[in-house]
Amino acid sequence: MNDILSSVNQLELSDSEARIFDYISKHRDVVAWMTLEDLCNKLYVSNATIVRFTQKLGCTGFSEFKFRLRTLPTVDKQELNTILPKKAAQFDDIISSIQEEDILYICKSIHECSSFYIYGRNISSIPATYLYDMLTTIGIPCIIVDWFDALESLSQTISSTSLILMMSEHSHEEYLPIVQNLHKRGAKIVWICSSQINKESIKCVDLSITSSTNDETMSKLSTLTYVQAIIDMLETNRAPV
Amino acid sequence: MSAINLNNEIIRNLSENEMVILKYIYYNTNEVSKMDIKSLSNAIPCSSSTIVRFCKKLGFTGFSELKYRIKTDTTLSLPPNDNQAILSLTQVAKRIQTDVKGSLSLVSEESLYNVAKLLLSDDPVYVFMPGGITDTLCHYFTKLFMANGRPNIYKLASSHLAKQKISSLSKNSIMVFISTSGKWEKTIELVKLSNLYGIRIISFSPYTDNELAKYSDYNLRFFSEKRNIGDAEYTSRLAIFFIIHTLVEYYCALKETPANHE
Repeated sequence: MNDILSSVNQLELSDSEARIFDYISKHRDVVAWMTLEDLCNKLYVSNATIVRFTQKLGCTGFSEFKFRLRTLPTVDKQELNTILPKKAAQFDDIISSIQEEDILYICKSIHECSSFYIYGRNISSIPATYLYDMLTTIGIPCIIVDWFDALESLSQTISSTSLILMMSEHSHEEYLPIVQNLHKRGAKIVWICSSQINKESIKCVDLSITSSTNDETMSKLSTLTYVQAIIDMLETNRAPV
Repeated sequence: MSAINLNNEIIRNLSENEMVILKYIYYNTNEVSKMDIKSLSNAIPCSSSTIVRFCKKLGFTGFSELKYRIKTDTTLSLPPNDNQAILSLTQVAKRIQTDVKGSLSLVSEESLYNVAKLLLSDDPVYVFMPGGITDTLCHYFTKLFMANGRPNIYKLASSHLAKQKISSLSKNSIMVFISTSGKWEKTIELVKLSNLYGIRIISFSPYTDNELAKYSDYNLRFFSEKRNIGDAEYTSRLAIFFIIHTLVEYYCALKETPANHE
C-alpha cells in the first residue's frame, strides 16, 4: 500500500491544511489513535478543515484516514507503553461507531419476536454466550446456537416470527444457503460480522453490522461492545419503542 | 418477582404449607398485592398466623410489608408507557464508557507487565471457572492466550475439581481467578488454598476492597457498577474483556521483544 501522506502535494494545501499535514507527518503514530476533537484542539482548526484535508487524500473522512495511517507498513512496531492508550482510543472508535437506530431496531425485534436465537461459534461464541447469559439473567428468553450443524437444522424449521442474531468473523460461503433458508421462512436476521458480508448473503439480512476494528477477528471487542449496548438498552428501557 | 429474597437457606426452611403460600403469591402477584390477610388465607386456604409466620421467615415484619414490597416490585416491572423517558444510546454509551475508560486509565501498567512476563514461561496455568456469566471471561482468557501460542493452559470447571487439583499442583503452577465482586465465597476459598500451597496467583477483581485481591500475587483491577436482580447478578463484564485483551497484547509484545524479558 502506498504511503497516504506521500500523496500530499503541499502546494495545493491551504495554510491550515499545511499545518495539519506538518503535525501528522511528525506524529503519525499518535494521530492514528486520536479522536477528531482532540486533533482539532491540538491544532486550533475546525473539524471541517480536518475532514476536508482527509478527503483531499481520497478518504471518506477522518475515521478512514486514521485506519489507513494505522495499517501502513511504516508504522513502528508496537511499544509496550503505547498499548493502553491505543486500547482506549480503540474503545473510543468502537463506541462512536455504534448507531442508535441499529441498537433500537435490535431491541424492538427482540421484544416483538416469538423466539430469539443467538448464533456464534469459535471466538464469536464469546459475545454470543455473553449476550445469552446476560439476557437470561434479566429475564429475556433466548436460545444459544453455538454449533454450525444446529444452525443448519434451525434454518429448515425456524418460524416466521423468530429473530436470529448471528455473530461471525466472516460471511463464509457455507452461510449463504442458511441465511437464504432463514429468510425464505420469514425469520428476521440480524448479522454482526467482523468483516464485510458478501453481496449475496446481505440480500437476505434485515440488518447487518460490520464490527470491524483493528484485530476484531481475534479480539471481538467491537462485537462485545455492541452486545453490551444491547444489554444495557434492554435492561434500562425494558421495551424501547 | 424480585421483591422476595429467596436464598437457599430460606427455601430449605420452608414447610410444605409455606411452599403452597409462596407458589400462590408467585402465580397471583397482582391480586395478592391488593388482598388483605383474611382474603389470602381464604384463597389458599390456610390460617392467618401461617401467613404471618411465612412472611417473617422471608425477613418481613408481617404481611403488610410483604404486600408493600410486592407492590413496589410490580410497579418497577411494568413495561414503560409512552410518557416514560427512554434512555438514549448516548446515556447507555456513557455508562459503558465510564467502566471501560475508567478501567483502562487506572489499570497498573506495571501489573500488566508483570503478569504478561509471568505468563511468558511455559509453567502450567489453571483458570478457575466459577460458573455463570464469569465463565465466558475464563473462556475468553484461555482462547486468546492459546490462539497467541501460550501452551499449558487448563480450565478447572468446578470448585470441587479445583479444590482437588490445587492440593496436588506443583509450585511452578499459576492459578487465575476472575471475580466481578472479588468476594464470591467459592473463589475466596480456592484463592486462600492456593496461597497456602504457595502457588502463584493472578486475579482480576474490582477496585473496591476485596479479599481476592488481598491473597493474590498479581492483581488486575477494573471498574464495574454492580447490578443485581434478586440473587442473580448481571454486572457488565465489558471492562474485564478489555483488560484481558490488553494483557494479551502485552504478552505478545513481550514475546516479540526478547530484550524485555529481563
